[in-house]
Amino acid sequence: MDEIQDLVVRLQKKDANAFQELHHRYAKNICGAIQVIVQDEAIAKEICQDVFVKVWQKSSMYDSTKGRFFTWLLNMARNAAIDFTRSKEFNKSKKNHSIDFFVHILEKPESEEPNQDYSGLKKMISKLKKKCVQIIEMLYFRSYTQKETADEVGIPLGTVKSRNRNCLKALRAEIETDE
Amino acid sequence: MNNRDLIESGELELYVAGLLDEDRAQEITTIIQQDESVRKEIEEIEKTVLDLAQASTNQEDFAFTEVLKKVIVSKDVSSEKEKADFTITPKERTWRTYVIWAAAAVFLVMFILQYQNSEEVTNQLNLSLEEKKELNTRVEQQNFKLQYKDDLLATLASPATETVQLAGQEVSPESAAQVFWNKKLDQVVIDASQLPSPPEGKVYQVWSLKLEPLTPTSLGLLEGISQTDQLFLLNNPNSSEAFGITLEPEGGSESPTLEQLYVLGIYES
Repeated sequence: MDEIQDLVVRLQKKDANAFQELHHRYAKNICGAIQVIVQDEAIAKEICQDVFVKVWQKSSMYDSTKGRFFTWLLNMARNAAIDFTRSKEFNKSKKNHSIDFFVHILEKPESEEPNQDYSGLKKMISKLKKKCVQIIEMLYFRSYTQKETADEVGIPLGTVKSRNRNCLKALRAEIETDE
Repeated sequence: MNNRDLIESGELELYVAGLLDEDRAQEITTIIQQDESVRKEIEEIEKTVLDLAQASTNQEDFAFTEVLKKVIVSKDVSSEKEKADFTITPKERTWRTYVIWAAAAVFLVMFILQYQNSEEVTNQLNLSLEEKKELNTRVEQQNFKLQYKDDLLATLASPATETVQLAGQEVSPESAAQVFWNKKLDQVVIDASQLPSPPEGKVYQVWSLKLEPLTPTSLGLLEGISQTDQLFLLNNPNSSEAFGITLEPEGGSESPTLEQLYVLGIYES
């Protein structure tokens, strides 16, 4: 991971090669995180590109003492995606958009559209409790606070932290058995 | 709290989510640097979220070129007018014609001046042999210059020539340049009239860029840039996707100094 830190330092010095390498490493994850919110692959891809433009322009704002580069990146992606969901364009196109992307994936039957195939994701989260995927989605992908998450999921505020840890552990175990 | 408890507390998960207050986040950053087990745990959490995010999309194609294009164009999202300054628009043609006429006028004036000089030279040929020799060299140089201007004009005037606008970058947003690229002749003419005079000991270097992966190839230096010499003819046998001009130490550099990138523009084929 020091390698990432290295790339970030070079990015902050406006090194285009380091920028390209970081884009290569994170584009798919960031695009996926945006997809959770906007639920439209073409739009997600577009916003993802815009996020990386901001990464280039605002790289000097990242302060490694305050958090991980990925956290900074994820935060920028969430903000851009959430901004978009508040736009007129989004409200117009809003077709069966669900607030819970992961729950939706978990519960809906296999899609017949090839470009809507989330079987990999479904497999990854299929053994998790519904509340778990909700907590993870809210905390990591929707910028919910612990309090908002507790209210939404209907659990005591004091348990969000430990519930989230257990949910992520379960998810991690699922991913590891698959690898 | 010892670090084992910290790992079990669920706080590191919140750190990765960006949900801790600034002071606590900074404390944890320090602990990560000191404690290998905490660092490993953070990386595991991050990897889990990364994997989940990655599985949430079916997209596979993430062209860096698209991002790079947006980086260039994003300089002007604030105003449509500025945007027109470095994208090729139908207006271009009138603008280009204007440049060609201006170049032709400069050429004509230069030609007359050169001709007068040559006249003078002929008169002086009666002078001593040594002087003659020296003057011959001068004529040769001037002929060379004329030929150069001739080639330059031919490249500019050819209908096969395409224009690429280079926009000012962070180090000098007010700068701009134009590349007139004739692919048939493998030549480019650089209009450097909107670049500031280079400081002592520095020179502008022109780069042809391939975008993926980012590969710069030097096209040459803009040496002897002055009030009258602002158009430069360079060879470009490359299949360029973009052009950039950087400020480099005298003699040029092996690879571009990106912090000194003055102008950059994408070639839209």
